[in-house]
Amino acid sequence: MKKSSNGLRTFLIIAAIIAGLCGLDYLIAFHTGSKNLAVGYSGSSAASGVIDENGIFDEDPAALRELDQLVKDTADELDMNILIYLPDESKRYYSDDAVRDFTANEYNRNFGEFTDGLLYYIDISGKSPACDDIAKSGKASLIYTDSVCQSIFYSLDEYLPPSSGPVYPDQISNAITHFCPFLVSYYDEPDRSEQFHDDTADVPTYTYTKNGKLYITKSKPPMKKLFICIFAELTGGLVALIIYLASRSRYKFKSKTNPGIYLANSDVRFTENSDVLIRSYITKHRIQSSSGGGGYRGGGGGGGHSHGGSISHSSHHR
Amino acid sequence: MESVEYKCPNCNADLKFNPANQKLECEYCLSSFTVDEIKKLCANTENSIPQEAVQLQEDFANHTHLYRCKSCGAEIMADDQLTATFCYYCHNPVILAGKMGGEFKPDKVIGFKLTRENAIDCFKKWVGKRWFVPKDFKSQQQLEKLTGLYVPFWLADCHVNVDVRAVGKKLRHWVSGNYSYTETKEFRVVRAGTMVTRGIPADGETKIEDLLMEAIEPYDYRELKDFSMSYLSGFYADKYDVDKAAVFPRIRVRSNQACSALVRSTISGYSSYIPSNENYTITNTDWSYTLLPVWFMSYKYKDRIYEFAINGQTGKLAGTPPLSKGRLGALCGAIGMGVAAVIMVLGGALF
Repeated sequence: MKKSSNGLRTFLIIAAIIAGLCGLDYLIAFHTGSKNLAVGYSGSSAASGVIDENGIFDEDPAALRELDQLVKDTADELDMNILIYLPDESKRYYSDDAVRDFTANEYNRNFGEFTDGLLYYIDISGKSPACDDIAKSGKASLIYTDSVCQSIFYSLDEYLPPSSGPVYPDQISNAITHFCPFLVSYYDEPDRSEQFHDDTADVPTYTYTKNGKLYITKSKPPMKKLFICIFAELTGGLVALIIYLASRSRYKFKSKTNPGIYLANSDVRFTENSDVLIRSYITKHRIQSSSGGGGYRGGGGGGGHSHGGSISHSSHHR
Repeated sequence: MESVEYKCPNCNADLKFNPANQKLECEYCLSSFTVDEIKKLCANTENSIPQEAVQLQEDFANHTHLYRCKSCGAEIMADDQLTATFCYYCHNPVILAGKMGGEFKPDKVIGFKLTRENAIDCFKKWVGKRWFVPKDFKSQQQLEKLTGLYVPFWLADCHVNVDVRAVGKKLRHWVSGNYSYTETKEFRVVRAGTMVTRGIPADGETKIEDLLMEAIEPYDYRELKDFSMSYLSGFYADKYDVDKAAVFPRIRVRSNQACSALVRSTISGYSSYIPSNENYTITNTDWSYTLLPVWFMSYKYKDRIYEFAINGQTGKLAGTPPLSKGRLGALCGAIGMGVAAVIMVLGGALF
């Protein structure tokens, strides 16, 4: 009776601890966090459009206006800022990192930090290889993931000029008129599991959605926090359990005296003490040769750069 | 049944055995006597039944006996095992000499070498390393329970015939060309002869855990003395209630273990060893009934009795320390929470 009441007491204590930890996890994951920095889309596509720094459309401003309007319409349709940037020759010596840094800052300068939108940088500066880049902010970071952007890049490769060749307005025009429909076709509400961490920004931020709303915060997303809490508690519990069991083992009865101490060598008389060889034989086995090779795969890393807001990049070399 | 007290020949106060100098001492006139001196002085007391001893009641409640203290006249109650005790009232040592007669008279005794203070020091040192014992386990009140007790032991000298036969294999490997070679040599291993295990002890008391007594071994038998009741003065003592026949199976197991270990130690250099015959036969056993000194303590914690014993000669201590699961659990919980908090902070869950 007493044993069963002790068992019930232990069970209740364990249940209370687990319930307490669950409550703590919930509080930490969902009720601690920095404020939401997301600004969203202003509702105006006035700042969206095409910046022709290279003067490709100088001789055909109507075509540029047409493209500009197409981009604005797409921006209104998708509720996000869209800017297409055609750089001049001064950017030909930019490294890939410098390109990404430039596009991030250019986006923030045009639309502001933590807004929804993207900037498509079509590298016609003469740099070889050309480095096209899509700088994304806000919900664009979650919708146009890197794999989506790479698909778009590959689709546009057939319209864009080679990096070292001459650039014609038609090529750019074709690329832009295909780019906007691609954005529309790939547009989909962000998945709950999608999240983006910008650790290159001046202040690293996390972009994610919760209950259909976009969040950009300096603290981790709730589910990530929850995972860390559970992992931390399991690790802490395991450490506690190991210490408990190790300590408890020191509280067991030990030390049994070896009875060998009661037998002195002087009290041992062997009448027969022999090791006689009775047989000997040799066996042989063929050695199975086996060979294997190892591969080597290496990967490169990207350089660091800094910018404001929360910008993700997808880059592509032509 | 009579009780005996050793009186100081000078002042007639009670004498107590001092483990530190192995003498009987008088606390009042500060006289001290060796065991041999007292044996001579009190020869009549040890070898004859004192006329003035009065037994008030025999077999009280089957196994309870009452004795009259010769110092204060108080009645002392003891069970049928106890052979030396203290008067409850005047605290003078009392030896129930009548119980030490005949078959219960020990052949040998090892006197206490460890004083009560030494035993307490041993215990404190041992318990000091254990942080999670209940608080009152280390208390002065608990230390007061430490009791010097002469435990009845059977010491057995076993003459053993050994006959061990086995096959040992030695392997040698080498590689030549595309082949791996293994040379196997088989040996017939024979070890036969006689061995004598000396002084394997087995306590002859049911009240004390056998394993506990085995754990505080060994005793140094070079200090064995012919039994004299004067050694018991100032300590408790019991007589055996488990006879030779009952302890023999334990003795046989330990004797065989000792012989087996020695035989194995002579067989070496083999990759594998397969015994075909292993016989250890005890042909003869010499017995000695001996009282060995043990400082003894018990502690009750959560309905369980924890027993501790300290070898009264060497100071070797054995016992199961009680574990305060609450204290250990609290510390482990705190460490676990600390680890979890560090991971949460480093993992960025809190900010």
